[in-house]
Amino acid sequence: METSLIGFAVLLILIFLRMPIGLALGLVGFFGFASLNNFNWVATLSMSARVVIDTSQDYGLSVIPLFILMGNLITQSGLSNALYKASYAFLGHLRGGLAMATVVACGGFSAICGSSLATAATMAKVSMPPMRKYGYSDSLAAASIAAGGTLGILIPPSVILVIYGIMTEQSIRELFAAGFLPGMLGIVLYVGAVAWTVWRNPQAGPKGDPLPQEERSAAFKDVFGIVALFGLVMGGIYGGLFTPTEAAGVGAGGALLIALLRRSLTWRSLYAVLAETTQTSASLFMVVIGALIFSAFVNRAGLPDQLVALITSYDVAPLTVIFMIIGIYLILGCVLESLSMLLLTVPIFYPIVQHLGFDLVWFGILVVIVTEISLITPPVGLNVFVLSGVLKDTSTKTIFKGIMPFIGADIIRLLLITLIPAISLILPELLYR
Amino acid sequence: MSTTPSHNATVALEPAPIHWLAVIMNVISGTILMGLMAITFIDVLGRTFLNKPLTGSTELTQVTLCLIIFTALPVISWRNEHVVVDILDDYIPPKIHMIRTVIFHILGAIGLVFIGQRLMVLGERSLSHNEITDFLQIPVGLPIEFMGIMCWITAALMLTVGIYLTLKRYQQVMAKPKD
Repeated sequence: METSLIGFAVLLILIFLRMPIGLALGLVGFFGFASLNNFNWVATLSMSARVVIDTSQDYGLSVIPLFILMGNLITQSGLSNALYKASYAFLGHLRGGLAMATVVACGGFSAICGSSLATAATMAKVSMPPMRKYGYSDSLAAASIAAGGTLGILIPPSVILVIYGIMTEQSIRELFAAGFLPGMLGIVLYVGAVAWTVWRNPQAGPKGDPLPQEERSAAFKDVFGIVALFGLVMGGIYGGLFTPTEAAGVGAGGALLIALLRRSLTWRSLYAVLAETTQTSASLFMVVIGALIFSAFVNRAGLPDQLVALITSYDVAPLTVIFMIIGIYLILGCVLESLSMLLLTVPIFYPIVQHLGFDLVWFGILVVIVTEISLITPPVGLNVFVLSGVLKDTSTKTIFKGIMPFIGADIIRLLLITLIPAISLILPELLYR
Repeated sequence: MSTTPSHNATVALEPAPIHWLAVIMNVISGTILMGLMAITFIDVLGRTFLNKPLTGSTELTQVTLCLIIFTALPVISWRNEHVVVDILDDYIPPKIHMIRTVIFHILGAIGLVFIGQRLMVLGERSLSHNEITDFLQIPVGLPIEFMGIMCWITAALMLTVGIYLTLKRYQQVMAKPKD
């Protein structure tokens, strides 16, 4: 136990010294593993090299570059604007309707795009100007974008769920099915958070002008491509037509087609999209590789088993343990970057959760929701920072002020999904079990 | 994913040959990525409509994945674009930041040299056993040795270009009057 705790302490120090997270995980994992094996360097190096070989040739992980490519192509093709228009056609005439439309458009966009930071940055350009025009308060307007951007990491296809699935050996297909309803619930509750804000302060979000009928239909026609793409990718996975990797390939191909049809692609922008995709993927893989070396160390040190024994010896109710784990995530989420938090903790927590008899697919959904929350909680909600970087005149303080109702909505969702596992498990039950 | 906010500033400091090296590697990895997309696309289309899947598509996917990752690795490494926790950046003096970045480049390079060496040994071993994949008969050791070589190349570039850019960036920050 001491060895792994020392390892953890060193790891956190290195990470806060701004060492690249993959490197920090790898180094601590490497030396920890060596110290447990009488400093047999060759064996430790072989273990690490095996992790590198297996991870970078993992069929399941090949969805990562493909889904990122799909997202970057969609971002490039200017569909964010079309999505916002369509949502506006639906909701714009309600009080707070523009902010509601923002939430819905963010949900739809980030589902395909997969990156909450990119969603926040993209949607800010699209939805902030109209909200300003109609006199929305800056805090509500910006908060709805920052919060809406987090929705997509749960709504499938989701890269984080893929990584969770590979670390815990759960079926990606079931995880994708499980993520759907909680994702939709997230959109509904966020719309509720907007409604609550404007109910408390009607000045924060006045009504927009209703669109004439023909403009409405035009708005829907414009998003047909992205809806069809989502339908194809998810329908294909749910229906068992193709594997998640193939779905990602088809999705990226479809996104390329959409971008070409919309004439939004030049050689230069295609280069930029491809370069960004491969570089983002490579940096993700380095973190995953580091995390797997680190988890080889903590497993070798027997930390998960010892924690299971510790928890069993205290005889606490299983649900209490889950709430404790959620509490740890909420605290860690305040300071750690989302993916790293997941990679660091899942190897330790999932054996406990499994031992207590919970469903690991359900736990995966919980973990992702907590990760979403971590993106908007002070002091380091990453989405909020990105947003205040994009909107030069809006401070993080203003956004954090507006975001409280959204965090409230997230807490309600977290409770609902923890206490009623059926919300996440009913779709995988119906489809696959 | 938080990359360095100074991305463009760092890229702008790259000497022309390095910049072109980055472009070439990006083009290579990007092309392979398009290839990966094409493989899955053709496989699905062939299987669904012609009842004829692409032979060995799984193997091709696995190999292309590691080619993509390890072709992109040198660029993100010398540009210091790995995932980091940067919440404390505003409180760190530029000099400390420069020193720690240099140290991390050195540590990263040392790690990569050792891993690369081990990868070469494992790749060599696999090649000498004539291990090949089931469908396409690709020697298993080749991609492993590719990864090993790319680890070394990355290490060399981190020690040279990576440190050079870090120092350059420090000079630039120090020369700029405080606003």
